[in-house]
Amino acid sequence: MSTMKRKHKSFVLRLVSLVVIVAALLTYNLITQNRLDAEAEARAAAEAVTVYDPLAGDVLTEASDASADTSVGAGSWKDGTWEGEATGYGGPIRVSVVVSGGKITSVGVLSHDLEDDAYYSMAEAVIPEVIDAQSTAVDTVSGATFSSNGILGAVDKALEGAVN
Amino acid sequence: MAQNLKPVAPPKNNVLEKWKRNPNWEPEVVKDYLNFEEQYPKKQQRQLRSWVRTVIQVLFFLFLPSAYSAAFNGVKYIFTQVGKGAAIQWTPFVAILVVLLAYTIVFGRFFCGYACAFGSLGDWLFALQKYIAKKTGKKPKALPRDTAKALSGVKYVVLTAIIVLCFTGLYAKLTGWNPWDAFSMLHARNFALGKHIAAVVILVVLMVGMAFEERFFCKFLCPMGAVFSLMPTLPFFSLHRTRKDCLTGCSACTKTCPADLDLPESGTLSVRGDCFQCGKCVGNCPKTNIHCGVSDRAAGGGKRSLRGNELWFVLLRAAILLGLFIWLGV
Ligand code: SF4
Ligand code: SF4
Ligand code: SF4
Repeated sequence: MSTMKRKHKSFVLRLVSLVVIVAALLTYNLITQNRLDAEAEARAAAEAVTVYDPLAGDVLTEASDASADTSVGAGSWKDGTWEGEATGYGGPIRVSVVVSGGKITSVGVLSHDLEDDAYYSMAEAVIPEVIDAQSTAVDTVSGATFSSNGILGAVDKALEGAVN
Repeated sequence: MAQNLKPVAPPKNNVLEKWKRNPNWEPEVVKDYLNFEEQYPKKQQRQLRSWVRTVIQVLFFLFLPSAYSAAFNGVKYIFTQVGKGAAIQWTPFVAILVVLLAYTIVFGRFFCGYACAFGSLGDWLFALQKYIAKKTGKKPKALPRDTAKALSGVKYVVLTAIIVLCFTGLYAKLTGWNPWDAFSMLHARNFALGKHIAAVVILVVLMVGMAFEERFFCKFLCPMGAVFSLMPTLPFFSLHRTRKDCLTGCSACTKTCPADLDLPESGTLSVRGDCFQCGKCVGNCPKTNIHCGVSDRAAGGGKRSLRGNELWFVLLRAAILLGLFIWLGV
């Protein structure tokens, strides 16, 4: 029995450690997710009190927040579709930015041929951030800095053409 | 690759001669030696295996070079999020990490032996150095085994350090140091390395290390290797040997092993976390004594036991890995 134990000890130890780590991370995630959800609800409730239309209020505050810390002021672009290019991980990334009503309404990536797929699909997460913030001064996706910077740089280039 | 390390069988008559001169020699030993000659795996077989391995490594190197860093980014991402108190999302990096760890739990570190671009780079640099050494007749001194053993703990320190840096949020400020970034940029033929001088210098140092010590980075420094080697690898497909059937005094497997490993005994759950599943030891064992699985019955190279270096098994594992990577969009 004791030799059995010795023979299998390292395996059992590893297995237990792995299970503990995975369980800890899952628990952590559950708690964090709950906390974030509760916070979001609280914020929504608070806004609903101060502003008549919570949805409009949301958009308004976000837009004004964003204009405060951007180099190119939000809403100061000419309407149209603008294209730009910058270097990502392995090569050029081309984007097209649609501006309507002076605001960025969509960002589409035209080409990212030399980008690594795993990195590129991570980096795509900056696009909704840019539209939310109406600015390229957003955090890059950690672990995919090159590709994110490529996308942000390309959006910057595109917006240069759109400056009033 | 390790020609000079394989045990050389003394000619038959020489053994018998010795035996005549020294009657204390156990007949067993002589029998073992004779067996050794009969059973020695054919050179062509070994060459074919090493050729197949190189082809698989080249293909993964060319087409899927980023699997290693993507998986390790998963580790960094998880601890960065925990440090920030943010939720861990199911990102592509996390998916690659989880799938690669699951694969390693089943098959051992086949990824390291056959598919990791950094590992393959190390193999080739080492082969190149050996080739040059052979041509010039100047052999660099090998690292003493004790030193190598001690150094193999450094990778856990590297892993811990990176996890702490991620957790405290300091890692994000350390751009320009990651040798993997420099390697990936060069691999993608992006030569704008201005901001990555430190990373390039580290990469060059690592490459020199790789050339002089087989799997230098993997054995001593790789944080992803540290994660792999801590996995509870299942024993079914990892390598074991039946020590009692070994040739007396033989250590061919350990000598040919890039990580100097002593394989665990058949029938145990014990697994060498540092084994890259390169399969070199299996083909080099004069007694075909190394095999997959926990069962003692699998020993002895019987027809139905899985030895772990069969071509179909190698190709199957490579195909499964490739399928997983394509599915994950690496
Ligand atoms: S130890 Fe690290 S560098 Fe070496 S093959 Fe494995 S993952 Fe790649
Ligand atoms: S134990 Fe065998 S398969 Fe594992 S790394 Fe050493 S030589 Fe390669
Ligand atoms: S398992 Fe290793 S030590 Fe035993 S006979 Fe084979 S090569 Fe020699």
